[in-house]
Amino acid sequence: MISHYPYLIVGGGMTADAAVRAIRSIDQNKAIGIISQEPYPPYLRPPLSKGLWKGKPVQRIWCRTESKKADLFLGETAIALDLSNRRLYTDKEKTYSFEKLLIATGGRPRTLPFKDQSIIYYRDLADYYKLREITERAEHFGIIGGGFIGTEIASCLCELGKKVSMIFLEEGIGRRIFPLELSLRLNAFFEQKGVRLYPNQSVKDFRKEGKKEIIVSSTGQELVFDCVVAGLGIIPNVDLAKEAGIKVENGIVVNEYLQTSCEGVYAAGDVANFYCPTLGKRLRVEHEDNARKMGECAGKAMAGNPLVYDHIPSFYSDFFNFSYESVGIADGNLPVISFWNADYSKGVLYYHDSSKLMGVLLWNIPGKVPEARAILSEGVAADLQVLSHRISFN
Amino acid sequence: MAKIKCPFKASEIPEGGAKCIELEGKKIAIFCYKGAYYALDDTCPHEGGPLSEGFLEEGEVECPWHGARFSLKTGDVLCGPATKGVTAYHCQKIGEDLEVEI
Repeated sequence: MISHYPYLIVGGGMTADAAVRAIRSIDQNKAIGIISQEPYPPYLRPPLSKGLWKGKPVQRIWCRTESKKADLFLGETAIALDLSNRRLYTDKEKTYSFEKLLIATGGRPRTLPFKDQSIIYYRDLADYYKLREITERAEHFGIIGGGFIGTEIASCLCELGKKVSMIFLEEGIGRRIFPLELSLRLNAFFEQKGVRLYPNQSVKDFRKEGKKEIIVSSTGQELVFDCVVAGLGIIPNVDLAKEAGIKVENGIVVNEYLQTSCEGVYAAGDVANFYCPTLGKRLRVEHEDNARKMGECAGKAMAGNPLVYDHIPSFYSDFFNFSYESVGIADGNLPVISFWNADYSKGVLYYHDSSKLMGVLLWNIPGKVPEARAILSEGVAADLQVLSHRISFN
Repeated sequence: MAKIKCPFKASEIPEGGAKCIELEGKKIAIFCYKGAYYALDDTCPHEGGPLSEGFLEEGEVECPWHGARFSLKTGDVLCGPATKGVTAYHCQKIGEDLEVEI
């Protein structure tokens, strides 16, 4: 039997939720189906490495997508897409037909090539439950990776009173997005908080010995933990699209209306590669803001109201008592014009490529994302004098 | 200021719940909290979360997206990440109906 959905969405994350809401703002009636390999309905992903560790209850993370009249098919994986017949096949031997399809399959965590895979590659709600349960009995945690997941989980575990070590490839924490000076300052801060750091190191080997998990670092050190968590980024889930013949290049390539190379088939969120007109380049972004905004734009296009996606993506992160937000591109290798207050607790960093501003990072300055976005849209020159008068610390 | 009757009965909002309606082109969240009715702009000024799907506690609504909190009575922001409040509208139950002053 074939189930027909005028609107079909593959992937059950925040992008899918945003798309459903956008479709429903235009079309109240036609059926929407969501096929998600996760066993849970759509939920907010950021609290997994933030709020849930600071008292936010799990029942507050649900998006409640089903309340918008969407049928959820959970624990089901789309395995093949037939574009000429507009059909989708799943691992439960079910067939769905559609008029408009949204591919919002997100990504899967990058893993290390070891036989023993008891490492938690932290990504979804199941990982949260697993790590939470382990924290009941484990004391010493090893974190691989110094990016978003690494820093956030390290700070959450540290604040639970756990002993935490971090091992990462770069010289400093968050070095891929922060300039060296800030990244090194964070090293000192994390160390002050009791986190043991192993910078400039990779993981050469990993094994289990009894209840212990052992990392062998690239310098030959053996580091022994009760539990190892890794945050090494994600690989976009493009296989379904690629095998169907949809154009893929660092994600699923979409046009300005978020349509893929196949008419009526859209992609959005972490998996989509789109053109950002303000920054003048193609991007693939793995953050909440882009997931929501793209999902919304794709949903509108599916329901017959296509709009150019010209949103400048932003992201935010919190660890210990720091919180920062960024708009545009924050790339630790770009030149930066930075302004800090006397004790470096607040700062504004402007990333540029010598001629053009590419991104703005707001360090502990809440509520300024709209201003940062306006500066990027205006095409303000990457000039110290000009920028010194823009975003204030207050 | 105009008084506008909501297109649903007061009893359709359960205690501790909310409903979102569009009045005069504005999305407004109507809450029922401890037997009284409150009306606020539905859209969180932080990132646009729907306050009508938020959580009610101690006379406040918490945005379901990032946890900003607003006073049901005044719309003032009480907790970040939002940095400004939302507009509060006078909402009155008249018989079985709800009237919002916009």
